[in-house]
Amino acid sequence: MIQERFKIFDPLIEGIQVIDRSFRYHYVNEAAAAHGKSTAAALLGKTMIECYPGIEQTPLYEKIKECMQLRIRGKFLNRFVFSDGSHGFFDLRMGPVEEGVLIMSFDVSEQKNKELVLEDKISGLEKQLALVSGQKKQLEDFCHIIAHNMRGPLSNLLLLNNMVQSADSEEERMLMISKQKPVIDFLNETFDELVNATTVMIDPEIKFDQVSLERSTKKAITLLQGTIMEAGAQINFDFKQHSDLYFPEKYLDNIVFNLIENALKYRSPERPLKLDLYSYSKDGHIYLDVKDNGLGIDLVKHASKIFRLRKTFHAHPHARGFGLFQIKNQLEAIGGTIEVSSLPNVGTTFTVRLNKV
Amino acid sequence: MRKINTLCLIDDDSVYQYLTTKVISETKLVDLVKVFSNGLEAIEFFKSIEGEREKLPDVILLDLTMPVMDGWDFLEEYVKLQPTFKKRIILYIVSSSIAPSDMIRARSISAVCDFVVKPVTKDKFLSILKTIST
Repeated sequence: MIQERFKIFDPLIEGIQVIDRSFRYHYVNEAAAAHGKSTAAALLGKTMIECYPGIEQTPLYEKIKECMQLRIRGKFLNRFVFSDGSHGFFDLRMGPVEEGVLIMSFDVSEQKNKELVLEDKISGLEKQLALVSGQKKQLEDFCHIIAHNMRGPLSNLLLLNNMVQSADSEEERMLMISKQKPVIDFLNETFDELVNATTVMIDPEIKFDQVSLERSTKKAITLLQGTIMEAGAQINFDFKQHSDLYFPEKYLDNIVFNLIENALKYRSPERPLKLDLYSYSKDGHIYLDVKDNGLGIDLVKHASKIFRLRKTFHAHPHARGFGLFQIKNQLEAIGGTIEVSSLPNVGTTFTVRLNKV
Repeated sequence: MRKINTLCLIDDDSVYQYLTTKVISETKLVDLVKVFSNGLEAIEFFKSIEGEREKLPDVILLDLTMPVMDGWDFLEEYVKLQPTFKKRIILYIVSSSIAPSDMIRARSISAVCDFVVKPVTKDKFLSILKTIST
């Protein structure tokens, strides 16, 4: 029986319903019924579960139960999925009444859907912004490379040329000319590296292959066998979690090779090198960690420079400062990342985010 | 032109070291050129001669991009040591960098006299010495 006292809600455009203590529709105005794509007549007297099977699994039902049992008021934004697969958003306010719980509902689908479209657009823009910021950073890196790395040897050549012209004797002139060769070679090398890095960044069709971390690691270990033996290094790898990847093979080979080579190069003279490589998945991505017990880097001082071209942190004769720069470029080109954590005299861990699981 | 007792060259580039030492010695205006291959070597030297004022250089030519300790990190340490020197040392940043951001940053450091863009030719070096004498 519909109680007379709720009749007053019949003409409202806001939905009003009263659920009794056995979760039956005690009163429903037409607006509330329409929110559920039903009619008042079809709902009245039936339980919510009879009308909307599965509703007992929803947080909405939990919320009504809470109001019912604890006799408290509540708010709830409900995303309601109809049997035809469509959905609507309803802003619900509920409170205990003598009969059970009274629920007032507003259809907010229109606003909510606009919000969702907006959110979508914003997240799209954020992604684009991140991409543009990344590109700006790379452009700055390139300006840095040109200003520092290319101009260094160039200024030496300018000076040498100046000296060739002002040389007092033929002997001196020949000496100055002979000194140009290594500078030209160095300039050429830097130039090639720059071209290499640029090609990586603008290469629109990087070939992805079915690759294996284990294979790439074994390949690198074979190539570095001499140094590994000389260093008495102990290299362990554990790719039980993830070894097979869909990743550009030459990049993976290069990343693994460079990280192992780095660890060998910057090992501590005080203890034999112990190097661990392992893969795992986190937040939907496959990660590779390369952890050593080597010299370490003072990241407080050098954090911003570590992945830059020709940045080296140790007085090592073979430190070139290209490997990490190249790895970073290759990873960024395909949406990966590389991070480092390190303590001087303790060791360094490189964390490479490869691709999605 | 005033003669200079000691000049410090802090730069990792061996070709630059050779050429600049040659340019400087050709002017016959500097008695001793001390060469350091990075900032840390120079800082260690300054610390080792603490109190021996006469061993301190008169002029420092400092590169920016170096391994181990670069020019900026050197300046940070250098500024800390400066009060112990009790001597006015003229410091020039000599870099191949043509990045305006580097020049602005260099000029914001009071210990830095000026920013010189490589190459340091004989003429450029002479004009530096001229500024020092006046």
